[in-house]
Amino acid sequence: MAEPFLIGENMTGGYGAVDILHSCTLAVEPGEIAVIVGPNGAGKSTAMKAVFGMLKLRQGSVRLMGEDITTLTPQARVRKGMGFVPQTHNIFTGMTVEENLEMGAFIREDDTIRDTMEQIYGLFPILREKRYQKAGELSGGQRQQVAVGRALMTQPKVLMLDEPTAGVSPIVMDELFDRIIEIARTGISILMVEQNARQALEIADKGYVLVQGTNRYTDTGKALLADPDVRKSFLGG
Amino acid sequence: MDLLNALTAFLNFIVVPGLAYGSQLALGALGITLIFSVLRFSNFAHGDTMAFGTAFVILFTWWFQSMGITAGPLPTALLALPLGILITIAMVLATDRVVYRFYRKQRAKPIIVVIVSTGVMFVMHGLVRMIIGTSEQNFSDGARMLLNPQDFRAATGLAEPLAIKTTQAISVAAAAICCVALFWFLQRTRTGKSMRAYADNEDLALLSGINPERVVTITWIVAGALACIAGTLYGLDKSYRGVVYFSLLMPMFAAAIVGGLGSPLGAVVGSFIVAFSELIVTNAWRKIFSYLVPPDWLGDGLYQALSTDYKVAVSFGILIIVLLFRPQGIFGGK
Repeated sequence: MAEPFLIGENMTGGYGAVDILHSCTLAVEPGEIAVIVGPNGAGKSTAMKAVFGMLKLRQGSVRLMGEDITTLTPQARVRKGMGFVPQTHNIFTGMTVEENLEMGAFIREDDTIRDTMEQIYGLFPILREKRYQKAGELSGGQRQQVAVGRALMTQPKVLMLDEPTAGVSPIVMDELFDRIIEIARTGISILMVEQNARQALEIADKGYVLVQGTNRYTDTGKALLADPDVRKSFLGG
Repeated sequence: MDLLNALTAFLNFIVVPGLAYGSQLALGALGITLIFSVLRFSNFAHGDTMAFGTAFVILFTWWFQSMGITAGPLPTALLALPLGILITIAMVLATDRVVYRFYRKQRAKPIIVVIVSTGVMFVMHGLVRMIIGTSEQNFSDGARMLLNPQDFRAATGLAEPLAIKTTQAISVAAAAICCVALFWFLQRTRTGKSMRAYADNEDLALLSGINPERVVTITWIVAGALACIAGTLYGLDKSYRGVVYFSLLMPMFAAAIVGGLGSPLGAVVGSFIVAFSELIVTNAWRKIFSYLVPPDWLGDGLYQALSTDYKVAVSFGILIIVLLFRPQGIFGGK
């Protein structure tokens, strides 16, 4: 098999002396949606943070387009084309929607920032409507759109989402998933952690079921949904 | 009843000095609030930074005066101000390099950095003593009055004079210019926005590629410049004594907290609230009342709530009231 577009391979590490991840592997191809699911405390968010460099790895490596980026800081990875949307505190609450997007494009020096902003307004029309409103005054779903929009402003090749649907209503969740599919269709790889395992696996090209920091099942989203073991243990039957 | 005279006295004793004092406080409080929101600590050395900057402005003023350079009707200190600002900026940046950066790298708790800033305050205070001494310095020159009280009386025929000192007018004008420039900088420029973004959400600012050291440097530059301007205006308007600037800390912090720490607009509004409260509480209202009610109603009192010696108590009182009832301040800071 050829080298994947982005891969975190055999990642082992944790925040302190105790390892949370035990040779965990995550990979994603261009235009693909990879979803990490699993029970609470399985290390889902930790695994994603490890891929993004927010966690020191004791073993394993992270490679983007074949280049080893294991030792790069998160900021350097942003410059390499990785976008990250944290689960909480993912917007500048005191700034307007448009300023949030502008700050997302802070590292860009070209003059097509306006165009990218238009694309994002096209993807999330509500943001265009509220562009001069403070992001902190928006609803939960709209805030998530701002957060995703901010990360897209760097024109990343990989977009990493840490529980994008946490705390939003089911209707808003479906809409967000639709947008995420749209983003993936433009060729951007999506790696996301999700609590709503069933819905997330439905849109996933690839699913990773993590348990206690290791890969338990890895398959396409459909296959995982059809797998009786996965259904029984993780999807509630 | 003599409304016009009462109004004139009110303008003369409350409004004009309040606007000038409020403007001077605002420039100081803006620096405090900026440092708080970006560096996340209360800078107790700010008052002495003002004293430090002003000391150099005074030295340059004397130098200019000795060479015969003046600004005509304006104080010579305005010419010396840019040089003073540069030295203040150099000083705060050097302090940051030598002292604060160490604690920033360690991610020290804000309370520790506050204590550190107290240490910086003592050092700065000592430096000022060595540079210019402890005695009072008067460095104001040029035309003293923009509106001469005698002229005003002659022109209007009122018994009460109205005086506007040049330094008062300059204070208000300078504060207005600085505020407009600062708000434009924060709202419209990329660098200003990155400062707000960093203050808003440090981690996300990092993820967006904003360089924290650069934001911190710019914050010190802006706060240092504002401190030097504020100190010079205050020194011109009253007179200069290093130790006075230390006692300005209280009203400046009260102003920043009343408006909401971290909110520049709040710092400006808070400054005027504090300035006017001080004047209203410590003013002897007898004169103004004497125009409004028959003289025999007044009795012997001065109608002064608090002696001017206790004016710091006013800021303290405001601070306590705000912290008890609206700790986030008027404009909802942190």
